[in-house]
Amino acid sequence: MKAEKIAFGISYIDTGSALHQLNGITKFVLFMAWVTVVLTTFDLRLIGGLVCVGLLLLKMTRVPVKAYRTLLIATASVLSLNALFMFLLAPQQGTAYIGSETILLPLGFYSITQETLFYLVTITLKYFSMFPIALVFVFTTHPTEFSASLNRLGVPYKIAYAVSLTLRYLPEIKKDYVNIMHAQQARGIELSKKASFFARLKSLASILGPLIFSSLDKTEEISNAMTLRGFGRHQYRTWYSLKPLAVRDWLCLLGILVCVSLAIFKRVFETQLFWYPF
Amino acid sequence: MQIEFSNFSFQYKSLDKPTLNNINLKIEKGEKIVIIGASGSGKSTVGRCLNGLIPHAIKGQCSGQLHIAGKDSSQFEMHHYTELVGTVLQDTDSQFVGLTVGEDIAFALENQCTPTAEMYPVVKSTAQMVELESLLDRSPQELSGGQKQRVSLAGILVDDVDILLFDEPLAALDPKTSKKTIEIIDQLHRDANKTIIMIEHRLEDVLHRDVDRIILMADGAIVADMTPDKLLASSLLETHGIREPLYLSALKSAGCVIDAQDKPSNLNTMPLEKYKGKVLDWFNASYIAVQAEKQTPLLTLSGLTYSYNGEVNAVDDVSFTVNKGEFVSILGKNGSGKSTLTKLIMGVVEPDLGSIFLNDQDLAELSIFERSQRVGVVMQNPNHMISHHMIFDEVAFGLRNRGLDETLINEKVLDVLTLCGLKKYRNWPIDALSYGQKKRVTIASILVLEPELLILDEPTAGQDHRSYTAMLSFIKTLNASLGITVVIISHDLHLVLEYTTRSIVLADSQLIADAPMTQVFSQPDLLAKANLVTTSLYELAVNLELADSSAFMQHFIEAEQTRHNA
Repeated sequence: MKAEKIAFGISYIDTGSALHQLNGITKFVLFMAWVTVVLTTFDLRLIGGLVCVGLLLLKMTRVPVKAYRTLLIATASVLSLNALFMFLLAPQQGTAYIGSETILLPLGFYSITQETLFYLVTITLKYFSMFPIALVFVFTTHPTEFSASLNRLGVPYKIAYAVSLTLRYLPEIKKDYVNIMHAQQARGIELSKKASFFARLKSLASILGPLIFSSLDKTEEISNAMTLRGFGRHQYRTWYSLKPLAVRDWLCLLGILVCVSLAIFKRVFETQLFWYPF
Repeated sequence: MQIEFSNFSFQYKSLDKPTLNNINLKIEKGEKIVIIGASGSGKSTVGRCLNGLIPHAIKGQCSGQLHIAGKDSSQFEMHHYTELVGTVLQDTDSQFVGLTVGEDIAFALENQCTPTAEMYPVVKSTAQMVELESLLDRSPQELSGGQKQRVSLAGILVDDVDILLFDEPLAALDPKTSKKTIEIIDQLHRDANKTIIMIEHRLEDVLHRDVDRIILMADGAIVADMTPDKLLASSLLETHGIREPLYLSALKSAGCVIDAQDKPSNLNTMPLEKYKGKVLDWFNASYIAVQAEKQTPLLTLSGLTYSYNGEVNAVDDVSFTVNKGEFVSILGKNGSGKSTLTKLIMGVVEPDLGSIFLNDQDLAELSIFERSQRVGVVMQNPNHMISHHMIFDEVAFGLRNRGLDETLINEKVLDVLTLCGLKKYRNWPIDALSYGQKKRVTIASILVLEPELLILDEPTAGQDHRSYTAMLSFIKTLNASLGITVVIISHDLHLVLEYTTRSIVLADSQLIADAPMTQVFSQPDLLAKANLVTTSLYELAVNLELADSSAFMQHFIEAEQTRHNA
């Protein structure tokens, strides 16, 4: 395995877009609300709308498509595969939910019905609709601002800070990992496809061992450094990167509240779980 | 009295002997103190007692008293310490917990619940003190080692503490940045009237600016507490394994007697006229030009180019040759392409352009493992290389991968462990070894493969003068007796000066010099491009108005080697 040349990662990229201007709290609430709405609905119209809005927001982040194209394709493929397996395990699920049966291709147990196809498309898009918004959140929210928002929304600050610490030291651990991998490769560890799966698994252990030990050493030093600067002294702490909520944030939050209420209202009062026009 | 240790002793919970033994030390407000000592002398433990890590984060047995700012520290909570003493740790990466510079500077303020709006002006003005105001939004990955250290410094300055404690501040810095750091510390001392305590073993670098007192520690006790001039005039440094400044070594080699009255802590103000006669006699007496031997190339790099991202070249059209039996150094600041060069030779990354030949073999035709049999690379951090629990297994690993017979492996491993002075530890777990010993294990695990070329990346990092001299002398012996070609990558000037004969200098991914070491070190402009500085040996030659500074250095090194061998 040669070291690959990597240009982009999935992480915070500051492009200065309108979404970047929004407060971390707003974006976190938006993300949570989005997930809630998706979970309440099986309505393809609503899901379709969410997918479109999500992709639009993703475009608004002004992050180059190159950065997430691979991930987008990978997610879509995994979800399609998921749909295939759902069909193989329960080919009549759609018919059962919707209550009618329109056979398009008679294959006995695996007959393809219009209802099943519709059901699978709905489910797949439902899962997929959460994906663009997750990317938007990651691309536009500075990790410490995220920690600060979590703390503001009631998560204890030691836990919230752990999130930003993880992101702070991930690049260091990655650097250590690459160094260890190189050292072990030079000593005859085969990590390429030439070696059997089992041999590669065993080789991986010889990288993870040193990695864990060197990371543990580091953890102790970091925790000492934080103690020396007064971390954990008080019940509360303030945040340098916490911005106050602006008018646009309140407007967004209001909009989010309305949408979530409508979605829940719709769920409670609708008679049929699945929207099926035919 | 700002700090007072009286009959203070400390024993770590995990150790069976006390690390500090009956320490008595007084430090006045506004003093500038350096604590020096070999590894294990207890100097870092003194630092930990001052900043409260002992007893609050690290457990052990204390006796005696420590008063800070007139108060008995045994009554202190952790925050009492942090309000009085600010600590800059050795590893700036561990101290940099924020995701941006501004955030990290604000860390202590955040923990004190300072309202967000009040933080901004404080962070800004503190950043100005250490010239970071334009970098507030940068992430730690975008900073150089020196910049990260200034962030650490700003991070403790926001607190307005009176005592600043520096734990080996120069350990990870290149020579030019080290000088700059010492200047910044000095400025804080003078302008802000802080009490400064530096724990460091690179004495010559620390003395770049005046200090009031030096505390020399050995085996948990204070063996000297005097002015730098007195200490340098004495023989205490040599007795306790601390490297004295190069110019003093040279003057002493020439038979000059150094007197504390001459203020030997500063080369530029020393009355050198007094010594000139003796130095010239010494220099002229035995200088013989070195004959160039006939050389066979071993490693040949030609037009090597590599880029990580396809935009900027990390290594740009680099060509040089290393001959059989040579001891060569590769110099350059962080990010100049030194490590990438090693990776290219190891084969873990493939060059975009150019080729590497070992003898007549194109390395591109060999796998990483095949290359490692012939070119052994010892990485900077031994913890990255060691993957086994027992020393024997660790050293035998490469041979086992090669598929050798176990009796043969046994024989070879024992040979190499004897050679490295590790034989008696062969059945020990690796955890029981010190950092320097671990480094030795990694060298043994490479040597056992009998490489033709040995590449050492920063071999002296994290080691004191005594253990590094022992290790380098050992490598020098390998070089001389077994004929192994050695390349070291380093910015430790003493190391380069003492052991290597030729230096290859990289700056901004390109090769800017490939010349005998003494020539490289006689060119201040060239050195500046690589963030290196001239050594005090060169300055001594200039101050003495010697025409051939390069020959003077060469003469000194030969004299030192004769002395070591004797």
